[in-house]
Amino acid sequence: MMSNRLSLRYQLLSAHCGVGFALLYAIFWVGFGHNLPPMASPDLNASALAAVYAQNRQSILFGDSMAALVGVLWIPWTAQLAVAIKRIEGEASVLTYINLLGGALTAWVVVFVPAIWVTAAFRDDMPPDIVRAINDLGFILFNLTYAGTSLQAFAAGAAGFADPRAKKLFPRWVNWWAILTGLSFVPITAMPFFKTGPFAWNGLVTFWIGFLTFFVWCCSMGICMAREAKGLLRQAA
Amino acid sequence: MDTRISLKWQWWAAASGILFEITYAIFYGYFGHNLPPVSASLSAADLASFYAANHVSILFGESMAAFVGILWVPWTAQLTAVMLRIEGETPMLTLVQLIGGILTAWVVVFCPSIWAACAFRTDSDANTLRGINDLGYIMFNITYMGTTLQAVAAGIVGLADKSAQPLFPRWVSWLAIVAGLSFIPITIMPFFKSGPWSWSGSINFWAWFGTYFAWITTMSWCMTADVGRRLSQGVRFGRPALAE
Repeated sequence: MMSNRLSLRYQLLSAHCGVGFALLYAIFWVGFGHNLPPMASPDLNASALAAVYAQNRQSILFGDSMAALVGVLWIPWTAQLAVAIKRIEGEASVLTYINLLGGALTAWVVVFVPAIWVTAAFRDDMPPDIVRAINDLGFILFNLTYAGTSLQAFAAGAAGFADPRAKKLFPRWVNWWAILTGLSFVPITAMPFFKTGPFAWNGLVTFWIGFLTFFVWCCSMGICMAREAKGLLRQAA
Repeated sequence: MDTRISLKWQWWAAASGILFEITYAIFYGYFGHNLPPVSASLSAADLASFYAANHVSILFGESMAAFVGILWVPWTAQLTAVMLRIEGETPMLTLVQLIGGILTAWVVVFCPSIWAACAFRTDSDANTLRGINDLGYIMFNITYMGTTLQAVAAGIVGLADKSAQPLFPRWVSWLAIVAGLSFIPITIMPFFKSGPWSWSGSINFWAWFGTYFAWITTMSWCMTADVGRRLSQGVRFGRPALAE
């Protein structure tokens, strides 16, 4: 079997992927992808939207291609979350598997949807109606499928609350924040009915609140897991 | 973690199979106008007017379907937990089931989002709309193999359960295997735009949703009963029930 110390080093690295993901995704998807808030607003007409892509083609192609790469950091982070909450849950670990499944679906979203926007930016001679339809498809898939991420956050928070050990994995506020994050996405189900305002995909609720809770959640749990892995490494020394 | 709390979570996870069927039938089936789905043989203009005529209902139904479809995740998680108990170490079939479950969850959550994208605007180009609608139905159907693997793996492990009180009766395990295999003819779906083999047809839609739902109902029921038994044993003896 693999040595305990080596395994813990991988666990530490995986835990750091939470903060790593938040930083790199902010740089590439948000920054280079022109998503602060998304410039490809749902209320643009087809030719105005095609113009957004035309004017920022290289930046969007670069940002979303890189986002498809760094988005995969969600996988090691989810794997470490599974290992850490499995230690709490013990044998019949349904919350661990819910986290794992929800994490796999979230990884799909953060990796594959940027590839859809890359498709929208790929050619400069595409009819504007088709660019807009592909852009819509991307933003709707990105947002409306939040429920996997919500379940992952709920499972992590519920396991955190049930932690019976003296030295708990997560402080209570981190567990509450995870639950709050999962709940904060729920209004996104109404997003397809709006092209402007807080519920639109570039609006206050769907974009700003949703991303704030999401990034704080993955950073806070990532930092706590890294702390636990460091403690276990010291013990193993 | 406290065994009773764990068992309560497990009960909800087991029941989410049946909850999935009910809510998915309401939102995807009824509000999404999928009983049966819109025909693959419509012209682009006719399909666009179908979406225009049912714009709000489809948008609502598919947005909600993307929400309730996620119930597939806890259900698969509970199936994983019980299969692991039967399969023990080296749980290859349990992992096959888990991966099949992830892919099935993708289908039941993400395809409704594709149809929501079709219904998002009322001024979409009709040919583009039909292209995306096709994409949704073809991804929904010809990717059944993940679900097939999930069902067949669950059935094989169910049959291998040699405990005194097996989790699944033998017929439930066989039903899972039959349901999984029943999807195989869907592979020829893209060759048909009308008739029983098309995505709205009597075989490809009605028959396979029948076997699919029969599989979920029976396994979900058995897993709920199993957790209920464990919970009540704990109460009767005045101590937490054994987790394993």
